[in-house]
Amino acid sequence: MSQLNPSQLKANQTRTLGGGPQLDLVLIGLLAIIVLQLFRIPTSRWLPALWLESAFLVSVPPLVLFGVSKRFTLSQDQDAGPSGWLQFGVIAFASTTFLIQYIFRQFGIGDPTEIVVMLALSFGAWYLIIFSGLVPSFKKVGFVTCCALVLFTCFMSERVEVFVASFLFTTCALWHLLSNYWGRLDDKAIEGDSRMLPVNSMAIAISLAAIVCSVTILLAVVPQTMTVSLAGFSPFSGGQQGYQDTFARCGIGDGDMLTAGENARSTGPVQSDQFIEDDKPSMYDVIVEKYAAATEFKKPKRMRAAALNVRATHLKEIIESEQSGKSFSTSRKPPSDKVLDLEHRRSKALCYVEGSTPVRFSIDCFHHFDGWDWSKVALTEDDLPESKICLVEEFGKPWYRKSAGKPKYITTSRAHRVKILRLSTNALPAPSLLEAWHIDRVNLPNLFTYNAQGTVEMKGDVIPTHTVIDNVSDVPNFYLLSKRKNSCVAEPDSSFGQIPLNKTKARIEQLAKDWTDGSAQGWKQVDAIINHLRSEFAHRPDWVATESYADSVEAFLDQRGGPGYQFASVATQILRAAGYRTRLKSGFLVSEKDFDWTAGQSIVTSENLHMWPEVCLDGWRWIPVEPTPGVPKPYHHLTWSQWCMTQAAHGIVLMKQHPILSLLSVVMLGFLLHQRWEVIAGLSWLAWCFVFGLFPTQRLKATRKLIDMRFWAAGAPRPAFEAVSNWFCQPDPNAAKQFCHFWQIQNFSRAQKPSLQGENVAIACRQIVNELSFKRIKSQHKNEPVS
Amino acid sequence: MNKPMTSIQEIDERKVDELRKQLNSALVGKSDVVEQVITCLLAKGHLLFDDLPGLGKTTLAKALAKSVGGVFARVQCTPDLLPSDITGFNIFDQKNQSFQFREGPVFSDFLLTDEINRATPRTQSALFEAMAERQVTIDNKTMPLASTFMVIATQNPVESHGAYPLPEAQLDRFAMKLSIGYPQTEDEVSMLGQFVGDEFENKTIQPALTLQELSSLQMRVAKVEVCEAVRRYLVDLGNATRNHSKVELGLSPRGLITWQRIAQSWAFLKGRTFVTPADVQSVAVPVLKLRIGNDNQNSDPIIQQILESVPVPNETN
Repeated sequence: MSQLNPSQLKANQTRTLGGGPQLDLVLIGLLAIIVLQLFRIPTSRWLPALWLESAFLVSVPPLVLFGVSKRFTLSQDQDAGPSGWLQFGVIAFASTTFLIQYIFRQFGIGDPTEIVVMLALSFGAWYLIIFSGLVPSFKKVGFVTCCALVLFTCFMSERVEVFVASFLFTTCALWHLLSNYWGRLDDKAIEGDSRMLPVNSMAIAISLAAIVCSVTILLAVVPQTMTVSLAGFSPFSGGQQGYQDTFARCGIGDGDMLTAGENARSTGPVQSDQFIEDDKPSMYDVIVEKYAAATEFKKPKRMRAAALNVRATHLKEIIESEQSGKSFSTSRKPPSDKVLDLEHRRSKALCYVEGSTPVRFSIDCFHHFDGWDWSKVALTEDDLPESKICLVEEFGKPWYRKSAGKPKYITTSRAHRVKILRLSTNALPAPSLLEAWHIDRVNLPNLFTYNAQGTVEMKGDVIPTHTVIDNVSDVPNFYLLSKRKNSCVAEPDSSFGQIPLNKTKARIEQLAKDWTDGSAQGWKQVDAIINHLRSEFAHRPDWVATESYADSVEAFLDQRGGPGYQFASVATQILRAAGYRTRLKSGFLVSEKDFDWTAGQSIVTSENLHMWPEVCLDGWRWIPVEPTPGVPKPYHHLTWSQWCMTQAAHGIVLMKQHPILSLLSVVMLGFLLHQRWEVIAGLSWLAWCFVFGLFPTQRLKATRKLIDMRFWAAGAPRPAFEAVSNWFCQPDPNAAKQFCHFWQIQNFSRAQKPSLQGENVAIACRQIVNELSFKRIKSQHKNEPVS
Repeated sequence: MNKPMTSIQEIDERKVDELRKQLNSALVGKSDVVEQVITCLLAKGHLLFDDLPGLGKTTLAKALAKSVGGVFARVQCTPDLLPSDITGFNIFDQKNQSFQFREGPVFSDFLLTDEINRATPRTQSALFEAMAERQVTIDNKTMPLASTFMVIATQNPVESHGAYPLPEAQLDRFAMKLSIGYPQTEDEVSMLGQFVGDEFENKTIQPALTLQELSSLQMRVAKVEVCEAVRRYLVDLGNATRNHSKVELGLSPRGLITWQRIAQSWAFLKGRTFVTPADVQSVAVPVLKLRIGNDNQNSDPIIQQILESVPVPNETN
């Protein structure tokens, strides 16, 4: 290409505008639809319907519209254009989405209203893009709509496939924007406008302000997007027939109807029979439902010689103890069935939870381990929490609050709402690091107390059904936590440092020593132990300890894996052996998969039963940790800057661990860079242009440097004593002649310098940059090596 | 060139082109030498041809004189040539009973001094004043020479028998030292063709310039811009010659001035009104060969080393 004059370029552009839509725009539209469909998958009742609908809406309406527009343009004046008709058509066909959804709803496979609106928008944008070749203004509207939809979907979702599709979309969109923008830049450059960017100072000021704002927000906010319920972005979700509609939102109300009275928010049915009330299970039943019953191979052995009545009494004791949840055995029968999806679970809902996930609600707390069983022990005065529970009024409501200050590593808090359904316990389902809780209109001063294990419980046998508890819990910042040293060591004989005195103890202590070796004392060692467990052991829900092992810890270590409770149990032991005050918590883990999209809340069943260790570093707050692989790590707060620093530190550690691999990657990268030098050179030229401004003199300077760099990259660097004009003219005198002329005027002629004209300089620079390409220099250099 | 040229520039270019054409037709296949000769002419410099006999030195000098329309004179140097043979002398006119001055060959526009190294040093030095100041003084009477006066000297390689090497002071008064060298085979074939039939003798050469036009061109060359960076570059190069281990006597300030003028002329021939470092380099060999050349060795590698030791100026601001 020698020189394109502006009129040629414009002609090229208009040629691409006419006729069909731009290919990249079509791709963008399709990707936007795919992103939305991926977002819909978890809520759709019948997956094929979703794709059938998409295929239909993507293909048929455009065909019909094409037919209409063809006919219209043939019969009518060409100049008038089909835009009016098309706009009408686009709106009409976008509304077919509503029609289709209405039909689907009759079969019970429709979507919530918000999703339908988004669908209509996405298909509307698709039709606009399809016809953007005929009506140029459609292009921008369609593109912007697609971008807005994808951005919104990203905010709403936390699923990887949505992000991957969105990433593809973003790449395409950026490509599209860049290609359009380049076109404009080229025009400007060829017309010789020294201000190549068509922006004014106000636009620059606004964009700078926007960049500063976004960076500030990015550095301050939490990187993990929370699972936002649909309620988060729509004030209503009624369905068409009020409360009777299957799709009506029916979530956590204001508690018991009797308590809430006229203030009850909603009482409609939920999507499944999980709401059906029947028998109220004890915690023991819940545990058995999830993990199967504890094996009793040990106990009969122990009682073989006992008298019948002694044996009966003992058995009764065991059962009572287990049924009341006083102990937890780590030797269990293999569970009969696998983990199921929410809608296929046979177990019934224990409670509903509204709020961000993952979240752990603790019920019980175990301290003593004998090798097989965890049991509760009454804590001494010293071990009990120092803070008192006090009743305060906030926002006109009574709140129970732990009277304690906040350590520095607590940087934020979050709120949950729990509706008790079949949870037969008086223990408060408290999220980790519970800070305050509230039950509407309940303001009895001493209703909640600490029990012997240091957890909060309610007076009375059980918390009444339909009680709605609002929780506020603290969120730790792991980055700040990792800076913290362990200030209270677990004594081996204390409740939080106890390890069974058997032959496994030495093994545990050795492991603790090996795994913490090299990590700084404090949270980093805890993290190291947890990461070892998460990476080196397998989560096998059906592996159980057999009689041949001395204890369940040995079984776990030998089998290199086991069910979740074994992970928690072993992690607790190892953490204790490393000198950290640790306790075993049991309760419910609510993660994203438990979220019921229709009701906008998470459903907790016995499937959610989970055990995890909690570590105390400062004698004050218990930080949950998660040793089980595949189970989400505890919710924590990390700003983007902290995240970046953590990742960088990990990267450095990784590079140190694999020096050869790192070296290889650097070499590979270097090779690739060498191969694609032109790209980098081009980018740096661009950067230079922006840095130096875009006056002719700076442009000449930047271009000279770029070409020098190309020569260098091609293996023929210009020697210091060689004049630029001589050297640049070697591969092709004509390509460099103009540039050299201007360059010489700029640098060696005071008289002629003012006469340098931006347009000519721009053309000459463009010419040399285009024609004296890296490849050309290189081939020339290969053919006739420069002396 | 993109920028429309002024009319004067166009006229100048046309004239120089015509001159170039004339000289190229006289000396076939030696356009680079012709270019350098024109450079020297426009720089008001004197030329020294260092070459074997019969390569076209005289032809070129005569063609040059003819194409500029000046007076051509020739001195064949021999060991018994006297200074007055060159400058001229006073002779008693018996009719008028007075001394009359008889002008020597220096009173011309182009003086070809053939085989200058065969003349005795005394005779050689007679040319000093003429070359440097463009005037001669005879019997306390100073007479100016033509403003376009140019000496084109030839010398045979010094190994030749009976030669007096030119003193350094003399050499410095020349601007360039050129070698024509043997022509290419094809050029030689076509040259032979020209000499079949009538006697050739530059009959095709027409004056391309008048002497006035030549003076005005020379004045314009003197006005070609040399920016500070290039001047500095020249000085650096000069220093490099003085510091080079194989160079006995470095470049004198007069040599630098000559070099600058030659570079100006070269830039002018390239259609520019300013000098670039590339121009300085282009004329380095003929200018330096004359001044640093040790007669016993080939000076080209030394010149190349000197050029390579000084970085060219890039961006000047």
